[in-house]
Amino acid sequence: MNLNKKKKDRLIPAGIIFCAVYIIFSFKPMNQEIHFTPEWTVNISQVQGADSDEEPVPFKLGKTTGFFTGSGKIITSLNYDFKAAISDKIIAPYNSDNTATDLFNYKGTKICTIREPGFPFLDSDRIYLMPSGGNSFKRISADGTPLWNYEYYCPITAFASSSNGTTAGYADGTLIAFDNSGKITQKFSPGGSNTEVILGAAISEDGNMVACVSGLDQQRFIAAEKSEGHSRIIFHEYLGEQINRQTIVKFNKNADVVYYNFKNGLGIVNLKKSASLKIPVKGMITQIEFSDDGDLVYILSRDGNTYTVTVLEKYVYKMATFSFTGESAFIQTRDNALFIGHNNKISKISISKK
Amino acid sequence: MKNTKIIFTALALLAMPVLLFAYDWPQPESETNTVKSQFGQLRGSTISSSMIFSEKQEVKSCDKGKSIAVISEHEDDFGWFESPLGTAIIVEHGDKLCTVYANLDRNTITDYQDVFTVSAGETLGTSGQSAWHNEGDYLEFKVFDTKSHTAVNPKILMPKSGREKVLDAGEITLEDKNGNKRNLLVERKIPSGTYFVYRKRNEIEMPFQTLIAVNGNTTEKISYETMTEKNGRLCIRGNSFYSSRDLYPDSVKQLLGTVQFNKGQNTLSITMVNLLGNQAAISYKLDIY
Repeated sequence: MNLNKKKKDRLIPAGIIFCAVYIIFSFKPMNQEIHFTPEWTVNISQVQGADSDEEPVPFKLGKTTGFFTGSGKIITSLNYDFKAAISDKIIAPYNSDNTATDLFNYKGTKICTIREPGFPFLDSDRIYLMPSGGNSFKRISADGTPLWNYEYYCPITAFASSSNGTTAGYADGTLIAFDNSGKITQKFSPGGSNTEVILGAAISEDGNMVACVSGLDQQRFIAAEKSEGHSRIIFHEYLGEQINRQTIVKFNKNADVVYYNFKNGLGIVNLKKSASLKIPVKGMITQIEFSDDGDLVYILSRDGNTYTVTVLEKYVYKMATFSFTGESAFIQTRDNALFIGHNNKISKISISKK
Repeated sequence: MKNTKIIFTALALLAMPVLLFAYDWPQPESETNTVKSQFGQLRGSTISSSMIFSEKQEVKSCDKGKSIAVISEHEDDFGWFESPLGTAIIVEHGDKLCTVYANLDRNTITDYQDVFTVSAGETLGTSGQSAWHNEGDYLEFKVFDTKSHTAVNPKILMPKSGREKVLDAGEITLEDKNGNKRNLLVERKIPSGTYFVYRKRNEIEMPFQTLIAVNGNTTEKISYETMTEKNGRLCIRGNSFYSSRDLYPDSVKQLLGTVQFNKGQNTLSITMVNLLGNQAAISYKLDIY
């Protein structure tokens, strides 16, 4: 009896101590939540010109393209008949029988003319021309003259560039990477499929890695890196359902994660861990953008007239999604803001962690 | 005589793939003398591997196959490259030959994304205004062979029911490696050496082969049967691989071949042959010093 009482006397303080220790050690601060706050909406026809040093942000909606600022000023708004190429720095409207292309800066000032027939492609400050026939491309200098070109026997089906390279994928399943002087750094056919074709391609910022969606029966994703003059496959996976349309492939800024669109889904590949994840996404992914700190990934997809923005945190975790209908749409990211273009309007959504 | 043998041999060889691959034209229009631009023509700054038709019509698959890629326009999307083929469907046939149907109206092919099987004669769409073109809203048609890595002249695979344009050698110019030009209309006495033989380029009519002979001996045959990539340039095969810069050094000239003249009397014979074997030939008696 006395023994039981003694035990009880010991158990009660021990329990209290255990609870206190548990509470202390289990305590951790609550996760920061990401908040999306609408800031402004502006109509793209309300041009206010360039009277500040704000960074220009490009837009393209329907048959109108131009630049705006983070504070909501439309710097330039240009209507075009056929098509237009635009990058962060350059804009180029063109026609179907284009024999010369005028390039303009964000203020609308002409910077040069490409005096060759074809369609321009602009990526940041990089200028390319896709000559007639679809089998070749030319790297163009800032003054509009060709620097180098590459012609092939079958059509280009995928094309991408980065600060340190260019990659082209072809209808015969060949993927070629070039350095900035036009020298071939990688050339290979992924193989592994009964029918070879490259449907989407990307090149890393340093130009050393390429990735692509390739082949039919079976379709697969591969990533390869330049290794002692050869291409070394560093990751591959077969895809279930297949597509025969062009598709998006994109490296993140550090090139440790690569994203690609497959039928009704987004593939996310962590190259460091050789691990992959698939997220269902309906329709076709048209844009993949990253926040400046790299924490957030914004995916714009289109299914008919329905556009969906999907936000991923820490590269992989789906944290938000919202949809809207429209004829055309785009997304851009700058600092801690997401810009969404929709028909003839652009909206800014500020992003903060609280 | 020797030229004739070469031509017949070449045509017999050409007949072989036709027998093996009984393709049909992608449009009912088979009068190939009406096409706007032919395989091998200078188009823009490149040698064209396309045939541009001349009627805005429905486009049909040449044979059964698999739709391996649908190239789309991305005018409403951000950051995509626009192919100069516009909206296009690429069909692979069972023999590693692929056909490309470009400059299609995208509204007529919507259902072809992620549809893989195509039957012979199946309508793929209607020609439109989606590609780079200065010829009109007509079909741009290509054939390529993934086994031999060549772009193939579509004409050699299609039924030869159409007529062909009459070839004309036209004004012939010789040019040495230093760029000195000799117009054979007015000059018949020229120094010995190696010359490039040019004719005035015709924007529509296109030979299938060009042959150059000196004193009856063929020195060069340039064939527009296939094109292949060499050192990043799409090339036509002659004695060497000729890129667009070699074949079409400017917008006026077309290379017919190269020739070496030795001192004495030389007879330069130039023969152009179309796909049906019809020839246009011209000879010059030259006094080489």
